[in-house]
Amino acid sequence: MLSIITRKELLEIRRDPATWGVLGVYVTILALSCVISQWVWTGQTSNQVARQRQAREEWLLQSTDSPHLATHDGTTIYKIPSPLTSVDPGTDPELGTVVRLESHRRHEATNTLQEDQLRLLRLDFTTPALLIQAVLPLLVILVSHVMASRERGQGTWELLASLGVTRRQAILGKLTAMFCLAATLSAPFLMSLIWIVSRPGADAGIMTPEFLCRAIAVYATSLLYLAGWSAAGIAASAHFRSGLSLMLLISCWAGWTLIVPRLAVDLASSQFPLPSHQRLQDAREIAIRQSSDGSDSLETFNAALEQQLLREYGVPQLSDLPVNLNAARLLAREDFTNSIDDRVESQLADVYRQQNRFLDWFEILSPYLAVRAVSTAFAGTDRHHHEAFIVSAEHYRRSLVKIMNTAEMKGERPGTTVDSRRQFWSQVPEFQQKLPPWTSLLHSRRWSIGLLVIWCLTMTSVAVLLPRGDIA
Amino acid sequence: MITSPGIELTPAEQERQLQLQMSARSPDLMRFTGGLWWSLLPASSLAGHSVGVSGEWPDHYRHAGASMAQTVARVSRPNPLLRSVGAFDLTLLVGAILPLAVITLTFDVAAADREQGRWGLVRAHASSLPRLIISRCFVRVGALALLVIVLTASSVLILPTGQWDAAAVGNVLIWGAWLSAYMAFWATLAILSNALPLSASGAGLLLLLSWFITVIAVPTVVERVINRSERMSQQSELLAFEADVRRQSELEADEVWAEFREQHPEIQLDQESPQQEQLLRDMALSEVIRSRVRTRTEAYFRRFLNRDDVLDRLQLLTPLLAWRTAADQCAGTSLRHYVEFAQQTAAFHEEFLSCFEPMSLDGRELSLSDIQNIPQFDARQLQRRLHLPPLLLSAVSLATWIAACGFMARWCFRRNANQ
Repeated sequence: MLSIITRKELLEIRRDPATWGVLGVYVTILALSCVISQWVWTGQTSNQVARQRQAREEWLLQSTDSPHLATHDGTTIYKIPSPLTSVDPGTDPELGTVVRLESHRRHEATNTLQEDQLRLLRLDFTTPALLIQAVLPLLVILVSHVMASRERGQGTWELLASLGVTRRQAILGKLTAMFCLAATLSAPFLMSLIWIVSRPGADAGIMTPEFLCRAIAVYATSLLYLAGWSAAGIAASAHFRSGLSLMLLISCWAGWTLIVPRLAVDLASSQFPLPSHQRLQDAREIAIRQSSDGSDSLETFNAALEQQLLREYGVPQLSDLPVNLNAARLLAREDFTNSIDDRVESQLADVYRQQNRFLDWFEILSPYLAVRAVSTAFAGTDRHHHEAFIVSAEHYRRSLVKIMNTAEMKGERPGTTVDSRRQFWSQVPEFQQKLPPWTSLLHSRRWSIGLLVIWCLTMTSVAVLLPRGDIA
Repeated sequence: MITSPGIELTPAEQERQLQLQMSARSPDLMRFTGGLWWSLLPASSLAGHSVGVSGEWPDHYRHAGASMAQTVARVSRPNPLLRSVGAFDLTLLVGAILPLAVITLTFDVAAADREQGRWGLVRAHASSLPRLIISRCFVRVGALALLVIVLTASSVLILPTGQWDAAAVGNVLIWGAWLSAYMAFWATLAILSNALPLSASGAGLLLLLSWFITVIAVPTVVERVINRSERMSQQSELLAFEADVRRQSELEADEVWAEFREQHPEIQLDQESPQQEQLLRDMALSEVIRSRVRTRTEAYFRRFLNRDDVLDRLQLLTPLLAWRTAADQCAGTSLRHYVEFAQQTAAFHEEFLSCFEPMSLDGRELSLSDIQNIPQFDARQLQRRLHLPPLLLSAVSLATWIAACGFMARWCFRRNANQ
């Protein structure tokens, strides 16, 4: 019986030329968006990979003979976007893609893709993920808001009942039809994911099985969200007349998609304001100038290093050390500036964490926030992933500086031939971008996933389990 | 305890700072010391209601020594989610959400009666059917618009946090007028959909489609087209340019110094004071750097203004753009306002640095009158004034859309009456 009702509903949708036309336009736009996004991602990735290779070559072929001076010249690393960026760019366009690495200074990521781009009211829903998660629910509303109310209006509930169809079966049939339609409309999105998964993504630090799981999670989350909207549409249609249900659903869509997310981030930013960038920079400069930030001082780091060297070389006095002590002190200076930078970054990270925790609560009010959180997390395009990139870049910078300063301390120098120079500078390994494993995301995003499941089940229950009494 | 740029000073430190400032003798030191002044954009009563670009552009800058690029740099690290989602403000509420409310209130003005069998009764009582639909639509939309205007005006002018002055009242009045025009557009569109022989659902769908095109589709296309055609250079490029110019100029230091000596033959170098020559060399070099960076900075800001000009012309494409332009203008949060502020800051930076140059050339120390005559950044020149051309274009756009929908509705009414 369920399949008959489902088929009948799909047939009705197919017979309506206006609906068919709107859905056709939507699928075309989605397909175009998938193709263009893929094309843009390919361009960005190949560009970043080429620049990364060039930066590495420049490092290996640098002309300086001093390892410490090499750390001042430094190098640059380029963020390779996750392949799933093409379907869900998330907050990636707002974040930097290039990090300059040099000694004594931790640079911020620069070259933000969206910097100074014109954004009118930030209602651009043209990425594949937003077309699925923000626009497709509108189409689901347009189709589903009449599905049950039309039966009531036309008096066909009774006819259905006389054929032995229970209300629950009828509603479930309509729900299945709506969900099948929504899933079919998302076909270009699925095809795009399959295309991405079938290509290697090692440049972004994701191996294929990991990547497959992430793609499945992105798609499954979107489907879950669409199932929730299908249920919401049928539930509203089953309880109210078509006009009212349409307006109710549209109001929910506007509230969940446009109002709550903006209010939430606004409130999060005002409740937990970030410390002034200028203030942090000034504090850092003062600490470096005074060789102390109150907690740590350069003298402490120098003393610790000297003790370590004396132990390591088994000599009683510093003058007996077989290494360049001034160069060794560079290591201590680096540790000192690192400790200052760590304290500054931890202050910022704490505020970001508080803001994100605050935002999590708003996911109760808006399932759209929950689906975006899960989708961007699995696509590797949220701030958490960017932070992971920044942290790995910083680890790389510290290891680069340490290797070079140690070489300076030991008096090592690059040779005179090209090969020997390459070999000397290649003591610093190539930067490898790594992303957090997808299983850790399941854990960190369990709240959002749980809320989505609860929302979806609630909507289905309202549609199926709370009959209005028009049909037996 | 006072707060100085990034540092909290104790009273003792504050006194010492004051003493140091007042005992400053070297004009060269003053030229290169950062944090000596801040430029501040005056607050605007409607800024909170229409955030415009205020999240991306600062309302204050801090003098960063000799560096122009660092002085006008925009340094902030907001949560990227805020940048990507955007802030919630009245411009969004009126531009995108209120039209949905208008659709909810008006989509079945005629169809509800038709579908519930009351149409004949309504026609029998109404003298004119178009007039009935028009009055129903305008009363509903008017009530909604009035509510928003009254609430906003109260919050801006009357509440304790508000300010009551001529500029604020004027801005609120203009804002209210443009809001009314924007709502009138939606009311006219609702009249048009009700003039068509459609069911309630059909009229609702038509209005929703119009909403989608007006609010989402066209602005998105406009954004894409402008971002593609009007590429902005990033501020990191400006900083990198200044660093490059500095490096390059240092390589040409001798030529610069020779040129400087030619331009200032009156300067007599004291052979016993190598410091004087070094200071003058630094000054010559920084002058060259500044002139090169100035050109680049001007071009950097001009690009933003050019982009705004293009956007102004495209207001005719959708009433939403017209509404946004007007709201940002009234609130003083448009890109034009912030770029002008940055330009003023850059100009002041130049003025500030150049005021010490004659003293350096004369080789004299700062006197009390010199300190008293140091130029000050005058925020009063920067009142967030209205820019008339974009505002007028916005009015033309809204009037055109209202007229177009009105004529179409009239044509539909006549056609239905003839049938």
